Amino acid sequence: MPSYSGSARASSAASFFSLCPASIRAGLFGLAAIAAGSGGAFAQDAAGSDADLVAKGRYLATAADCAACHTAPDGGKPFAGGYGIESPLGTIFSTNITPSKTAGIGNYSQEDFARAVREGVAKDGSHLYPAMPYTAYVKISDEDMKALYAYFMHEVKADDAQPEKTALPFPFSIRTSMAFWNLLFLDNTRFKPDAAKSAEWNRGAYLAEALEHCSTCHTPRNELMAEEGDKALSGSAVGSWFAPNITSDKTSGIGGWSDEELTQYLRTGHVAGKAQAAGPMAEAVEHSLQHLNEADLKALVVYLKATKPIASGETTPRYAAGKPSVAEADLRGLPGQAMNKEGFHIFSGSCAACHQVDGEGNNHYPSLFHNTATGGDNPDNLIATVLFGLQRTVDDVPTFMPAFGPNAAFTDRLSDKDVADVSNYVLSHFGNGRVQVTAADVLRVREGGEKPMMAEVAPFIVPAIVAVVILLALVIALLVARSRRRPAHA
Amino acid sequence: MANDAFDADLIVIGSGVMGGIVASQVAKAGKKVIILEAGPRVDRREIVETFRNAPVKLSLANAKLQGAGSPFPSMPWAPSTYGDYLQYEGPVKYNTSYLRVVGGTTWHFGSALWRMIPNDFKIQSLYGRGRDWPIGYDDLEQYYNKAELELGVTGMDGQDESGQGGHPMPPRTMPFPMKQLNSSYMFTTLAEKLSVGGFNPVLEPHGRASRPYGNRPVCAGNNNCNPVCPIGAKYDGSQHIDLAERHGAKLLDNSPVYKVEAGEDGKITAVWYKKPDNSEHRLTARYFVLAAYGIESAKLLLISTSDKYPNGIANSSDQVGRNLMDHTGISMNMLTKEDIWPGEGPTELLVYLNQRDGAFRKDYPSYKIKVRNTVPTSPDDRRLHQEGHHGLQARRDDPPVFGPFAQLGDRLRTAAARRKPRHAIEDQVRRARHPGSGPLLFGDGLLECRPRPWPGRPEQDRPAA
Repeated sequence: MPSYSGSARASSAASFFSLCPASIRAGLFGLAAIAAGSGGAFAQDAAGSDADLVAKGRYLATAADCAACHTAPDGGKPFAGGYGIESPLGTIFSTNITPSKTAGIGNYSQEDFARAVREGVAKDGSHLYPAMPYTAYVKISDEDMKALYAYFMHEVKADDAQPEKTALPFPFSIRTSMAFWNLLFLDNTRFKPDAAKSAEWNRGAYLAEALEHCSTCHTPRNELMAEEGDKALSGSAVGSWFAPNITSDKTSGIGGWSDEELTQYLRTGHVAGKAQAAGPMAEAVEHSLQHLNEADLKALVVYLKATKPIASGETTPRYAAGKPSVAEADLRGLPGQAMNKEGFHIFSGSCAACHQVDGEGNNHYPSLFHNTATGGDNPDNLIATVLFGLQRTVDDVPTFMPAFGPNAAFTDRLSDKDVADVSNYVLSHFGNGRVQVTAADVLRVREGGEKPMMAEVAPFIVPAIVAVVILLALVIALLVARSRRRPAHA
Repeated sequence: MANDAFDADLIVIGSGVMGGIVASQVAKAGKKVIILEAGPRVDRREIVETFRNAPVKLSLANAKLQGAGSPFPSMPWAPSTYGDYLQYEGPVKYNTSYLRVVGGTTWHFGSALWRMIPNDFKIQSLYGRGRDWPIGYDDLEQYYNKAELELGVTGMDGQDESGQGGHPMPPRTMPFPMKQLNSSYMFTTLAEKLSVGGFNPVLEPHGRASRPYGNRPVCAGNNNCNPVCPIGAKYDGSQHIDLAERHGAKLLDNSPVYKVEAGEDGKITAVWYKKPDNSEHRLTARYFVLAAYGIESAKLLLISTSDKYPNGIANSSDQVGRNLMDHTGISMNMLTKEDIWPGEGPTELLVYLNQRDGAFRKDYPSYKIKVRNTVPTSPDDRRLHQEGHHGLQARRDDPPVFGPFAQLGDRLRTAAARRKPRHAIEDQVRRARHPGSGPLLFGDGLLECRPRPWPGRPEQDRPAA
């Protein structure tokens, strides 16, 4: 049977470009195109490669989730790139970062590699799009960078396939503009351990800030799409999805979770009665977090529980809202009299067979109450889950919810209004009833979320320049005409 | 691409599993495809809700026999076979119920997806009955593989599907696309007990996903395979129509075809269809596929008469529309000494094929014993009411146990330990209880079987697939 293109994956990456924080995945965009033309010879010393170093590099590459972007889904060669990511600014194709000398990074020296990963500058000096979170990777230690380099050069198989080249529209096609952005927002320093904190906290901080790059999604960004450090991890839109507040705040963040729950969540993407990972977070769990060792997961939890608490307005923790519903007894068989009839109708027909009429779920399907997707102030994750479904494979066991949006079969597809109605039914019966969803909200989520300011103004930049040029031309013409008229009158 | 002289490269009449697969393959190849369907499109949730709200819930056969209808729509231009659309002549009622909607009858099939066994192809030479096929099992094997991948078949590798408890049969060059679902408590218990009497349990190959397959989620054991899988885990023909449309095929619903036109050379040149407003339309194509089920296909050929073809199209043999055979079947209920908890998982899975192949085929045909696994909600419900439980209170007293098939075994064993009824009054699963009667005797008293007292008529049933 057909395997339809994964809408959740595409949409989660919809705003990958860090001009719009999107996927949590890491990438090294632009490397291949640049590497191709550079003739610098790199003497690959296979004999000098150390198996331990390579193994360490493999683990680090997993922790940094490189493959998530550089390995195309559905059978792409590892790290050969070619995954087209729909960003608000245009499609960005991930690059080949295999050691191919023609298509990949085979000609990169250790220094070239480190500069690309940390500063977003390719071997030939051109700038990468900051789709890749190099503002996080900049903190990777020299030692780890060496291991990563060893892994990519000695274990990853060279693949000479040339992925499609990224061609964003003007003005984003000018990669040099990133130099200015880097000047403002790239702090080119390595991770500095805090001697006052435990070794475990420091390990967690390094993992979270340098490799797993949690802040790429969870930290809000300013108008120029740079992370706002004073609001670190307090929640941000990620394309269609919302990466929630994961500071240690007891109400707004994850302060109310036990260490065991957090560890389980990072490890499996699911904690009954709390939350489940969908969209980009499901990818992070699937490709990266589930593969971390116990000590590293524990260190991450220690770090997360000790972050600066930031309240973001909630009055109850988003996992605490709601209770089982007995509404079906009132609504069944009473069409026309039922409150929110449409929402109930859709809920009963499309949701209740798995999540149960009372919303309690079971061992396979999450409860709809005591669920962060329904209990927070932001309904985007609920909407996105209905639209795009959920795919997450942990320990080779797939967790799957079908999509009900555009990618659903016509027999199961819901309209924007249907999704709004059923979301409102779910919110009012199982979650945060103060939140209302409109069809316009669903449209926004379906189309990849709020566009960043830069993407919004992009279409006007060229017309604006044209207008200025025309205006200037008119002014000049006027001045010329005047100056010609003068002698005539003189 | 389509020549301008034609409306399409291919026109497919009928949007069921056959038409859908052909249409999607040809559309994928970049050809222009039009699919004509007499009935309307349906939304899964609408069918689920119609069924859930229906006061009477019966098996497909009983729904028809007792006039309870179907949750699928009946249109004046494509009347439901649950009504009086089909007119019977002859001594035996033809209790078929096919669906006239986009996606076709697989919407309500039990999703049994068997291969034939090699001996089925040569019953004349082996048993002196019928005719041998001009091809053998080996000629078809690779196409079975393709079909199983296309439909997403779940099955148990290594079983003797000829029912003799022997070597794997039929031979396969490819494992099943999906591994078999876990056996339920009832199936496991029955299989153990009946094996003593020489019955070889076989778990049926079927179209319910046991892992995410395309858009299909894993079977959650809603026990509602007919009339509709509420979550789309079970294959139905609409899935290939969806695929065909994603590759550019055009589907015209509510468009019953009433005439097939043939040219002088006998090649089909056009088809005529009507819209609900009674307007008449003609479409041409380079090729046509007629895939409208045994009754509608024959009907269309027979009514497409012309001077050159006074007996209809493709009917020089005068055999079109003759020799039609339905599945026939008999349903029986049984009582067991101990609780065995029917209703867990899909409505069917465990079958007995001891009589699938053997010398007996000289004298009588093969048959299958299917253990039907529907939830006995109705009698449980009645008992609860008699015991004074009502409405939601009954539900709280006897909390429903249902959910993903894989999980149910353990929960049922817990429920069995409590020896309490586990079916709720408003649970999510099928409410049907098969009325019927008659003893079902198994060997030497392993099970205490006696006719179940039940008001109503014995069921003349038709296997769902």
